[in-house]
Amino acid sequence: MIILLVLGYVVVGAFELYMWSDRPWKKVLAYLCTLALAVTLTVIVVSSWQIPVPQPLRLLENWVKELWAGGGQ
Amino acid sequence: MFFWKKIKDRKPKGKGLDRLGTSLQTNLYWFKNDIFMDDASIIYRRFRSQPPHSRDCILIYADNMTNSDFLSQYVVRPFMNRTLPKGASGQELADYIMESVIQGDQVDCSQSFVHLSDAIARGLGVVLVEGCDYGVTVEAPGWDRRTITEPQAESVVRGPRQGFTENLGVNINLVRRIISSPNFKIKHLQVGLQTKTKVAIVYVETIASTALVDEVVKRIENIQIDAILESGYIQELIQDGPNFSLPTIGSTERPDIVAGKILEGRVAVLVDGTPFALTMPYLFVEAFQANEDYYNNWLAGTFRRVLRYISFLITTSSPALYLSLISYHPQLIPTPLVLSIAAARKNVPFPGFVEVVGMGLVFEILREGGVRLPQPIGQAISIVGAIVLGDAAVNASLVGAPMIVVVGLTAISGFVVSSIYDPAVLMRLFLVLMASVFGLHGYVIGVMAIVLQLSSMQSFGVPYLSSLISFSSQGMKDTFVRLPWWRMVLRPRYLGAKNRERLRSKSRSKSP
Amino acid sequence: MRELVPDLQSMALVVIFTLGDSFIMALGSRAGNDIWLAFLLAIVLAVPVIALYARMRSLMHGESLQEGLATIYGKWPSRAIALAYSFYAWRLGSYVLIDLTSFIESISLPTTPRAAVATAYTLLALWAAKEGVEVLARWSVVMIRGVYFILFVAFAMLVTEVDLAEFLPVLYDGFQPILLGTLQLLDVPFLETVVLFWVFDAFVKPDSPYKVFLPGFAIASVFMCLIASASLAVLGAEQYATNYFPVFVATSRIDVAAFLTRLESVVSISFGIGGFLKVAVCLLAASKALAIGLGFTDYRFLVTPVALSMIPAAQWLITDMMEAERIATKVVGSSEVFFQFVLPLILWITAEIRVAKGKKNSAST
Repeated sequence: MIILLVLGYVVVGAFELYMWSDRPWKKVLAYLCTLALAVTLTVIVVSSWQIPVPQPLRLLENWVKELWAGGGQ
Repeated sequence: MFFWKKIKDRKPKGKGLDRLGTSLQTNLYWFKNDIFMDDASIIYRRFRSQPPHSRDCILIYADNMTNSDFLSQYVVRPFMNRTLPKGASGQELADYIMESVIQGDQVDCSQSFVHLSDAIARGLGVVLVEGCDYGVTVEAPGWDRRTITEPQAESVVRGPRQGFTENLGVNINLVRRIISSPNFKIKHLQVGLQTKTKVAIVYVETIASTALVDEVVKRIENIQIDAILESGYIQELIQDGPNFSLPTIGSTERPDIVAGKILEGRVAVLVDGTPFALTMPYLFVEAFQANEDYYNNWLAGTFRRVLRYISFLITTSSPALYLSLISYHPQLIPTPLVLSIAAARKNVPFPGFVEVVGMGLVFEILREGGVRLPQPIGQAISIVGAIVLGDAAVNASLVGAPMIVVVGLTAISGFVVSSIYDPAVLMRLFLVLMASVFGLHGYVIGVMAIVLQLSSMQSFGVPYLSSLISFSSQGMKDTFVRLPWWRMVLRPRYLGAKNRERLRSKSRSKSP
Repeated sequence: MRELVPDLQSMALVVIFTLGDSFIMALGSRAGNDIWLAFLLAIVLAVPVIALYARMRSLMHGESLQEGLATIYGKWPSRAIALAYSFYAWRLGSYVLIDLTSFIESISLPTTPRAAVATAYTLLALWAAKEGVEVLARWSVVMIRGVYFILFVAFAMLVTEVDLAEFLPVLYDGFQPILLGTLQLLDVPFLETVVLFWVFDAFVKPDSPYKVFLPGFAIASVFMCLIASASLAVLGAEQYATNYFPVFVATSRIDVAAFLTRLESVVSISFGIGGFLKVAVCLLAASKALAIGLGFTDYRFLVTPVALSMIPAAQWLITDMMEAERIATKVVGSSEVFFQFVLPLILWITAEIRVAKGKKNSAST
């Protein structure tokens, strides 16, 4: 299943790149990186590793919680 | 007209001659034995001008394409009764012939074999004179024309009973008789390397935007094709971008429709040899407008227009909605109805999707089969359709009776919006597919996709949905409703007309 | 590549975006039966913030979004801001996708895999985002009539079911529930409007942003207030808060002559329309902001990967229905406050200072 999905992404990526009229390396790099993100997320989801969603602003949240005693989550 | 194909090589073969010589004998030789070789329909009429200094002359024309009475009356006879100036030759002699001898309206001269042979092929007469290296062409059209009749596909109860014919000149005059104004302009172009089809771009100078006219001219001039047999060729070659078969250029057989459209600021293209005129830009709403809306009472016109929108919705949506209701959301149907539908479909072995697509397909085949058949056989088809595919199919448990109702409803409402019948069929199929996968939500996704497609379309730089997405009252007045004329003071804004006022206020007379 | 959208069309986009997928949920449920007060308060509080978004766009008039950001904040800071908002729009889009798919799954397609529905909507959003904001705005104008029509009809028929006594007693629990409800409303959906900041390339006139954002928001929010209040009056405060989709449940009570029943499915259609537009706009904003962040002038080539990453992200961010219900369980998320209020405030103050300075400089020279 994972292999099939990744293959699907590769096909989509290759097709889109093929359709472009010109391919400056910066654009290709940005495109491939974003696509890699999509692939990674798909792999995470499909293989059901229980990776917690990162919360980069946890500190701020705690602060807000303290401010709104009882009002938070 | 078969000899048109003969002019494959535009230059005379052999020595590579492209200009006439002074010897009549040589010139005639090239016409007879090279350009029009093996062509029995070309007539060579020899005669001599009045002595003294009588010269040999020859008139060449294509039989049945040219009016031979006219030629002998106004070309041959004046030559015979007149003495040509002694010693004159070349341009001087040609001018003398054009000015003082031939009594025709459209006379021209040329030195080139190509021009002259093209002229003969187009139905003109060509006069060659001994000692003159110019040929003189005379217009004397003599082919048969269809008379002006009411177009069958666009007949009206109330409205003018004239339709375009295959003759460009007649068609232009039909429009010009409606718009008798010096502002009515015609641009002539020629398209088609072999057919040399005459194309006329007509518009009203004080209304149509210059950019639009230039764009149309540019697009038509860009066409490089060997033949234009019908205006559909041009339509496809100049219309905007890929689209799923919804027309972005309108076509009509009626001069009153063309006049109405160019008076709103559009441009029309008339093509020789076809009664179908093209109008552009063409927007989505125009598929729902009919000329009779404007001739009848405005309230009746509005009613019919709303009816057309509803029919469009029904013809595109009803099979998809039926399918999603019976297979995904039976709880949405009132209970007694769901019971009777279930009873009707009890013995049907196929899933709803097969039933819907199958019946839809059968109907389209029936329609396609009936369209081009002669009347008596066409009736047989409809009997087969009505009995065998309706009642018998239900009795044989091939389809449920409600399905027949849905197909019938779809078909009838499809004919109401006949100008976009084919796109509507495609939309219907797409919606059925979506509904069969995701039910009602699939249907909604499908509708959203169609609207997205429509929103992204343009016709000559004008958004396809222009008047539908307008919020102003002047923009809306001719969209879902047809307001009375005294309310439609301005021309539509989206066409970029130079002069937007179409009706002076106080045009409406009231009883005191 | 600047796409100018007429103000009224942009406004339609703002209205559908703000209605979005949210109106069907238990908006401001913390406020109990004083929900209408919470709504009014939230609208009053949201208007200045939205005016602030509009003000920032107005300061950039004459330039595209990318140029405007660069002239005000400089090259690298503007890129960092764009990247941050790209993330925000991407996450919001994923959340909306969750709401949309879980709603459809629980209401009408229990057996269809959720990822399939999400893929269908995302592919459509992908197409829409590639077509651009101009097309999307035109689309909104066509669709807004359908949404208005459906909601008007549904709620006109709901009138017989409304029990105004549900609103009494006013202010029984004091002000705190109202404040909590207000905060909920500000977070979701009112200030999500910040995403729209990134969608429009340019505006017709300097005051266009105000004309687009403020009336659009006002129409949508008043509409939502009426819908939520009517639903609460039908269901009662308790049921309103415990149901995932109270508006849906409320409209299911409609019964006109035993014929016009089950209108909730029709209402869910307008939910699908709003939800789709929100996904598409978020996708557009995320791709545009990402393109600006990475220094590209064209965003279209980034749409496909961003859209494809939203499908698994939606599956990842959600663990169950409870979490999808981001309104009922939470008052306000920290990152939302940051992106919706704190960051725009900082940006606005910086912008005003820098523009004023710039004017002084140009005046002195």
